[in-house]
Amino acid sequence: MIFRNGIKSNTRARGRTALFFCLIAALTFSLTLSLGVLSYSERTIEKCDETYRSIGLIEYTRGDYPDENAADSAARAAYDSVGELFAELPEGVEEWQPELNDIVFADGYTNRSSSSKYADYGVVVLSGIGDPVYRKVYDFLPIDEAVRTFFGYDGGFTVTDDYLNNNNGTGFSMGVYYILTDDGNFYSLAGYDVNFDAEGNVVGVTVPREDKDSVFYYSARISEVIYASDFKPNRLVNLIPSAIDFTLEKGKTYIAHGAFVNKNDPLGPLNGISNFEITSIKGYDGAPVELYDGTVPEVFAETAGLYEKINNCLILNSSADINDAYEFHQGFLYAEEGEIPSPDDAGACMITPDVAYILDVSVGDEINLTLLSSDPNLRYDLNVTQSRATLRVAGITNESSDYSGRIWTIGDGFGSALFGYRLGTLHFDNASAADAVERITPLLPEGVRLTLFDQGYGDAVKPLYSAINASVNTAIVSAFGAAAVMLIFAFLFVGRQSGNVKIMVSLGTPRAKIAAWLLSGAMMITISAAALGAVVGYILLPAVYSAVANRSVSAPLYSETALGVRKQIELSAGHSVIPTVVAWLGMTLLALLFCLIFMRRAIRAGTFERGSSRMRIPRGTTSTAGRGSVRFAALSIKRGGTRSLIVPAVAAVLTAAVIIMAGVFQGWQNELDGAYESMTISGNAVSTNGRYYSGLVIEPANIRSLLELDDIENVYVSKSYRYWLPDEMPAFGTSGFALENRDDWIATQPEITATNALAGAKEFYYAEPSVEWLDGWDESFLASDEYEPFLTYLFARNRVSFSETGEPVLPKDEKPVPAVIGDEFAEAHGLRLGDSFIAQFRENSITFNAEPYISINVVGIYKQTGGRAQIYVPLGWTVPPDAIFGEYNPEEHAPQVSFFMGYYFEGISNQLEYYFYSQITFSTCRFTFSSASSLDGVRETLRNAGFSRVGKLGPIRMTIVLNDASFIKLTETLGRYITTGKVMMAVIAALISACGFIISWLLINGRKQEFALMRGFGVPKGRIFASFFIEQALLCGAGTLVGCVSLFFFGAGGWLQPAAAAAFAVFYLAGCAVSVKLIGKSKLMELLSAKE
Amino acid sequence: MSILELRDVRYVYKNKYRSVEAINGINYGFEAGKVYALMGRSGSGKTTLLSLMAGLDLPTSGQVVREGVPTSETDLEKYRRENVSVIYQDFRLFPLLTAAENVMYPMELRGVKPAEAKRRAAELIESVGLPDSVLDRFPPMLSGGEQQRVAIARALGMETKILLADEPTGNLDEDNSANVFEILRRLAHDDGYCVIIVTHDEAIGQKADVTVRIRDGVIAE
Repeated sequence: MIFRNGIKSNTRARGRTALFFCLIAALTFSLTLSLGVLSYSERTIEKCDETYRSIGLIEYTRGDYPDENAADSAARAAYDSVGELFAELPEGVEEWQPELNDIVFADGYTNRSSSSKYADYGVVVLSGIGDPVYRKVYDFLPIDEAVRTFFGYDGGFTVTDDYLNNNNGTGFSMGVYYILTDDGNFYSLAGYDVNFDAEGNVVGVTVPREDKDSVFYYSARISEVIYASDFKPNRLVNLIPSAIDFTLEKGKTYIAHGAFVNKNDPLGPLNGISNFEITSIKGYDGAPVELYDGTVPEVFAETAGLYEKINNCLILNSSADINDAYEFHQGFLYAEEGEIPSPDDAGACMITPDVAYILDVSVGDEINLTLLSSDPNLRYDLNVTQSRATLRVAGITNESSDYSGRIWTIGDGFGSALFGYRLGTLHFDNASAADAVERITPLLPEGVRLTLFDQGYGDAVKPLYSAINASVNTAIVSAFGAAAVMLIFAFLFVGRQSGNVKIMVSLGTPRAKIAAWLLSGAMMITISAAALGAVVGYILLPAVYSAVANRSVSAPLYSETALGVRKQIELSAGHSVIPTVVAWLGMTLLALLFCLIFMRRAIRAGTFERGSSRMRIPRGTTSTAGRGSVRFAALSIKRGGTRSLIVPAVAAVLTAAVIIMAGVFQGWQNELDGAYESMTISGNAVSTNGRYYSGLVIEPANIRSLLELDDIENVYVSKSYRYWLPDEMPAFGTSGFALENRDDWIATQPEITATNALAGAKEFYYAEPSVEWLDGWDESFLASDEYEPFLTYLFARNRVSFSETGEPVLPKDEKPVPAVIGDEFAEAHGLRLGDSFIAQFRENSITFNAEPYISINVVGIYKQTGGRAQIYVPLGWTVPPDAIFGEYNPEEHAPQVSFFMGYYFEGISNQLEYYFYSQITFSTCRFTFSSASSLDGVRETLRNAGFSRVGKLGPIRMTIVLNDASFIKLTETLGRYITTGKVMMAVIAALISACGFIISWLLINGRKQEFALMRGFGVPKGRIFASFFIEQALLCGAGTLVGCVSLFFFGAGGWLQPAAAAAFAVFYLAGCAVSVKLIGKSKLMELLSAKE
Repeated sequence: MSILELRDVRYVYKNKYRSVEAINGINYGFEAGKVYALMGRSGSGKTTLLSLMAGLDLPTSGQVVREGVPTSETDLEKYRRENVSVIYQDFRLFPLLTAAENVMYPMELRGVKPAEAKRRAAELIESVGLPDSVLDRFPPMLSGGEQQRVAIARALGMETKILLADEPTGNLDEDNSANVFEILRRLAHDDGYCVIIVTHDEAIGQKADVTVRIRDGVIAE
């Protein structure tokens, strides 16, 4: 009975019931969807966390990065520093795996692509020895004697290198020196090696002759191969007996130790036949060649065995988890057979298919390994050790030409020294990987780079986080909306039933039954409406999940955030009923809460209490001030008491809240604007996998294509050459491993880098250079076009000579090249600003290992940070900058370049230059934008122009990566905040409007009698409206002004905060106007009959 | 001649579910200088009739005619402002205006300057038998009788010739009722007002010049 009456008393107000039923159903629906999406997104992110792996590759990027065989002390120091840094794992890092590589040998394995130092060495049996061919020696002939000897001329003469001028402009010059005799005849010195003095004058020539004491080579046949990695018997060779001091006898058979020398080597005989140079046996004082009687001497057999082991070495990589090894993580390798061993499977290993095939092992078999120890400075200078290990094959990888002869195992390895530049790998917690990288990067030693590879996790979860953001916002808005609706609902359906309560109380109804009456109707409406909304939401949720899942986000074009492989995984977290139940239950409990509050109030109001009535007496006396509605409003404000305080107080608080919120929002916006204005984003040319940004081969045409693009500015390029000081090169001799040792030594020397800005040098990609300049000098000289490219004088004139003491001497007209050198190098060599010195360098991009000299003038000294004494010289020293960056005028450079590769090409210098400079390539290229705000435009421009990006080759084979990770992270984070802020601001605007309406409505509703009286007096509607509205406007305005005081404390600049405060006032007054209008629309007779 | 005439006036209260005929075809004429008592049981339609005469609404059919002009053809706000004044049973005074300001309010509506309105309000309040001390008091500080007299003074301040009173003595004791009626009677007889009082009070009915009884929305006698 009680329930029926309670339900009927509510539901009979059909319009009101229907309205609130719809509102509650809609809000429950909204809550169900938002909570469902929130739950789905979080569960899917959890699945992503299980599926994806995020690793950070830590590399030392200076020196000869990325040479994996380099023995770089700076890299090893960085390796130790990084090891100490990660002794305690930073937040977000789950594991630190230092790089652990050993070189090992497995019996039976043959490696056909060995990079061992001994790859070309072998022990062979030689027969059919032919006649010796002797070496040439050169004798110096003073010029006077040479002229007499060669030309039979005994009179006066001059030497000239300018045939044309001295031959009346006729004839054809080969660019050689000429003898102009006093009687007017020309004799060419072509074919003679001309010698100069310190001032560039020709002082003589060198004349070749055969040295019968020095055999250059014999012709011979390899009849038997004791060991040679890639050489079959019965082949003819040029046998170079460098390491022996006796003559081989013709027709005899010998066993010899030596190396197969590149037939193109300038030291070789160049007759198209392979050269086998007899070299001494390491650690053996005897002759490396003996007469062969069919028995292999022990030392030869041992040496052959050693070479076999070393040349067939394997690389063993040890780690705690093979899945975190870069090549497995990136999907280059996977388990074709068996499986990748788990981290707790110590002693298990993965091998490459070539190892499995050659060793004839399969999954489950064991392989025995012997450690080969490297020379600390040369990785493949190996010795066999007694350290051994037996590993069980757990899996065999797929076939990959980049990875052969490799083994990966779980463990700590043999502890060999670090070679190369990969220092180790960090295993991150996926969700905090990006933040961890940002925190760790500043802590890393100079020159160390941390690159995040997350397999696309970041992009996979991005739409899920957006969905979470949106669903949280929706849930908050829905919850606020639900609270507001439930408040009104409970007020109307329960709170306003005090009349019924009075009746029930007067009839002696028990309190519990009164409560049941009050709650039954309201709760029935709530429960059924919420159930409807929840069920509809539950049915529609799968479609929403699908929409979220399909919102895949791809990394921005050319972004460094797109590096590495990206997993394409179908993720479905399934459909859960929990969010639906939570939404339904939440709405029901919220309704119950408010209904209970209002029920208490209704019961109180309907219960008779002694002494509960109070009378409020306004203060003041009769006033005649003012007129009309303003007067009425002013009097109402003046005498309104608490009412006149509530509105301004609420307005002040809300205004301050709005201003503070707008301030936070404005702060985010300011930060975002600041990021766009202040952040400089650069781009690099990189290797196709995006990991290497130096040691590249970048064609000038690609640089010019880059320069043609809008928004690209400050393009920096560099080209590097190994250099050394002539007196610091060790004496390598001519035998044994001399050539290899010399090449090895040069390969470890620092570089002289031609660049148009220090920022273009790889050492300064991530650190600003600190340079002390010679007075009057700054970095701008690097981009100057006033320097002559060294290749022109290298080809055009043999400018370098030697002093009597053997020092290289440059011609007196050769200007030293200004350069910036390292402080440690300067100190070690006693160099100061303004000093000059001569260096030698190797050029092998145009020439075949030419080793010219360069005179350097120190104009700047930079603080060395990487241990390498790099030298920076103007780009013009390599190539005229105009030829790359500007309008190049060939006429200005024609005399220097028209002589090329030993020939003059008179009158066709333009084509020559085109050919000449098109051969120049650069090892780095870096550029910056005019503004970070043009980032998206630059991406499009690069794509439209056809530049390649990581994983996508374009028509222009220059892969570009933009260093935008931190910018993207910042802007995305701020963008998310701002989006949330916008939603919140909209919600707050709506709430404020609702507040204005509710407060005004409540206040004016309480004054219906006054309203009705005015209308009863025939007061025009406009004046009635004005009377109430002006009152509210003045009170609200006063409160808003008070609230605006917070601007002094929380002002963030810009227009947003004042606008938000103004918007608050407008919204409030709009709500107020609506409420006055609504009451004005009531029928007058109803108003007059209504009670307070 | 009738100052206010009802011509077949009907009024129907209706909502979505039902309609109730409150006034069911009343024809009647009210003259100036007389006190009319509209009497009848609760729900008979007398207050509804008073509301129609006060211009608070228009009849569903028929006409309320003042001096030959039907209310349906006039601006009701102007009609209420210039032609009728109403005294309510529960006084209906602005709670935040003093007694004087309440009386001044309709005067100011008509453009009377505040100072003049204040002087006139004092006269009117005196004329209804209230002392000067009442002038600056707010309605909650006054007794029911005092509030009703202020309401009468306010009605007088409107200077209309038709004065409608809805149970003006309903909340008053016998003495105050008598006083209030006396004021109304004087207004009719001395100043030529047409005073129409809705009441249940038989005593007032007997003292009125004309008693009009309404039953079920029609004039019974």
